[in-house]
Amino acid sequence: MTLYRTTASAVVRRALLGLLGVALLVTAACGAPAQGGGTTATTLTVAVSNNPSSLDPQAGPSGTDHVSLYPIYATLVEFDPKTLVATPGLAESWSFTDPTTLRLKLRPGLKFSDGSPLDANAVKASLERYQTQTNKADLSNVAGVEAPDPTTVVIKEKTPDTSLVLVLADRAGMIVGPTAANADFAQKPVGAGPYTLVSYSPGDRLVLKRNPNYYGTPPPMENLEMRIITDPKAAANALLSGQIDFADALDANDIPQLRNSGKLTVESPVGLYFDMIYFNLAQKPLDDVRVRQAINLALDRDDIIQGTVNGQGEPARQPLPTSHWAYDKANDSVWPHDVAKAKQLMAEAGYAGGVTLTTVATASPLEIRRNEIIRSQLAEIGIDYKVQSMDTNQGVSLYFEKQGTNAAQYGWSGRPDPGQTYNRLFAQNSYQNPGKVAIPGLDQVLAQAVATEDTAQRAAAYAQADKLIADFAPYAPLYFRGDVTAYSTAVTGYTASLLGKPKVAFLNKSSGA
Amino acid sequence: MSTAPPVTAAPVPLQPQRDGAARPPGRRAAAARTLALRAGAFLATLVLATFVAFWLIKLVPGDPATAIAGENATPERLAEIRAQLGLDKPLLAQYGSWAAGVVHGDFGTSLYSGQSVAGLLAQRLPVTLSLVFCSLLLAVVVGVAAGIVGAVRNKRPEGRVVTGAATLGIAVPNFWLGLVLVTVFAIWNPWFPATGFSRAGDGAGEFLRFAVLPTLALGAAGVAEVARQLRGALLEVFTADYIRMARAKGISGTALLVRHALRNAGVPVVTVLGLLINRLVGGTVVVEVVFAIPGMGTLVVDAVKQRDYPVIQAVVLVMAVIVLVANAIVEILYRRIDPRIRLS
Repeated sequence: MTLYRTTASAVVRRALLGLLGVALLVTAACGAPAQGGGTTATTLTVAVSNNPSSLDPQAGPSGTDHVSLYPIYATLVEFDPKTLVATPGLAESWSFTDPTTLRLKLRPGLKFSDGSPLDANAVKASLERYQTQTNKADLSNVAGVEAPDPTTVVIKEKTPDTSLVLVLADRAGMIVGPTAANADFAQKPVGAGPYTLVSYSPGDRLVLKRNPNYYGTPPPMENLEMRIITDPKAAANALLSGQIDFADALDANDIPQLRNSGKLTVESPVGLYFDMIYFNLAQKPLDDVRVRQAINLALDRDDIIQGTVNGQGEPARQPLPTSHWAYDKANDSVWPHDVAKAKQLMAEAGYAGGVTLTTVATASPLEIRRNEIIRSQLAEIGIDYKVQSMDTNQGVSLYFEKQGTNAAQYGWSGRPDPGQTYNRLFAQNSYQNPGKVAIPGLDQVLAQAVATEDTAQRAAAYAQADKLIADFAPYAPLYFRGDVTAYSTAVTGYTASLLGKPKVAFLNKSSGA
Repeated sequence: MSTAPPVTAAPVPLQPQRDGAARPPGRRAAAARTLALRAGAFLATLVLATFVAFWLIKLVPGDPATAIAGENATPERLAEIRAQLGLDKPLLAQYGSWAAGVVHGDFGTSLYSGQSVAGLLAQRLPVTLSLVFCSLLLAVVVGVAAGIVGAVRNKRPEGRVVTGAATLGIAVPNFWLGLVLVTVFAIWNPWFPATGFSRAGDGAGEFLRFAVLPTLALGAAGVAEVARQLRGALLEVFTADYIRMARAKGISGTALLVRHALRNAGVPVVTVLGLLINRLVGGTVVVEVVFAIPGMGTLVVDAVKQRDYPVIQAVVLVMAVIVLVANAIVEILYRRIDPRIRLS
């Protein structure tokens, strides 16, 4: 080696110089000031946690599309984000002229973002198109739509159902423009929302600008940029580095870091989304109501919330959170954590010696933590809770279609009207009830609940339903998950939606941030 | 992350004999046959890769219908979607109709979003290719420089640093390195963007700014691997008689290293580069998610979750082509570097 060392020193020098050169290049690249997409005071940059399945509200299936759809489309009916009570939207008023006829009065002079008129005929065309698209089930009770004059829309129903009003605050009420028939509508959507789409790169971002034809108060920001960031850690990093101004669906474990930055407001509003254990009521041992009650009594919901989502949630004992208009306080006392009583019920059901319960859950760190907690809580009453972790698609198919497990651990995302939630989760013929077991008396109560517009009467009907459900225990609700949301301290005007799908169009960002 | 042991480099004659003129008749035909065989193997590998991918994803329960129907699922709706997408047909028929489309340049449309798959690829492929290219460049430039330092200054502090850093670089997982880089160079010191990507066509400065951190995260293991292999190979070559001989003939240090030692040590390094391209292409799947980069990696992760067969298939096909082409190039490079391979 001594032979070589001296002769090659020149090369070593050159190699070191090369390394230095690379380092210089890197330094030069840093020389350019770091600027995020949202540093100009007229642009608000937000993160969207999922790739929209489609920008056509009638075509896309995913419940996470709404964040991207709200700025583009105005809905016939709006709702108070805190209580989900219906408020005027494109329609300034409405009423049921008879139990199956909903008459909506549109605001006069409405226009789509492309300037074409948004009148009763445009609404009729949009609703009729909806009945032929992916999400047509939302309007399956609609018999026909009429447009007697330019500002009046009449919707005829097959059976009385007042939940239609809030259905019109969701996808079905997002009125699509006259170009909806074009094949490229999902790439070039036209609505009547506060913003209009400038460009869309799937998987990357949506760029929007203020819609001059919007009917209401114009949004405070000229431009809105929505960056698609599916990884919660990446979204947190983008927030911390100032690249974006707002993000939701963050990881609860990142809350301390986000708070400590001093640059962000962090909150975890509870929405309609809740996690639960679905039961197949036709399979042993869940065919026995005593076992189902025992499981609900054995679960320590506060412990699960602490261990799974760092305390960011609200225990669930009915399918609605405490702030909802149809929430029934009587349920607060349902299913206290009572292991002794749970054990007694198990013994009465003949399972004193223990029993195995199979279930599926999504494979993710959060879910795996939760599985372990539930497993240990159920072990106390002699249940061997066997969880198969797999990807959601696979698990959904295994449990709901093949009925391959006794139970499943999944969430339920909200619908604007509680009628949809109760029907989907508990009606005898629902897809979400694979055992097809009827809860005695429930279907009639649910029909009553949508036969009136009066919220007090409806709430009373759902309270009655809750009683039937609590006695039958067809599921084990766990908790309403807080949606970990963080935004720059320069951003104002955010009100979390109880529906859990953030509306970002009216966020304001002060300059100088 | 598996690492190949350093490949032993054998000396190459300083003056390789040219054999072109002396090629006996029949050699040309044999060469043509070899070429045809290679092309056939290339195509067969593509078909096999895409078919296996198709078959594997079909083995897993759950299908696009459940993803498309979501919470609106009813048995009727699922059956309707399945019939619409042709998912009720036999596996071979489904694969056949996909392959027939591809042969005619039609990659189909995404089952989830309805967008044209060719359009998605056109948007995502350049992003991933530029990331892979930058990482490869980093691995070659820095890896070779570090490898030379490590060999020439073996057993001296510089050499030890290279050996240590290389061992560490191979052991560190790319997603972890990515998160550390973001924390240090985007959050603590806001020098680089934490997420996102800027296309090379939209300005070199912005492109570099966005590419630096993901390139480092993706390429670090490559740098380490190249440095380690080159160092090992050079150390072996340095002990060979022909180097001593060349040295005795008075060939200067630089010329000796570049023309004689590096040429021999190059064969194992080229092998490593071939393996490295495969690994970099695979690594984009993780690194793109960490940096929220809209490339092929994030595309395929979403597609797998949604059972979006046409997108998965197209990505598998494109990645297989990249890997096969890279390996073909590596083989050509071998032949140029080592005439013995050319002869056999």
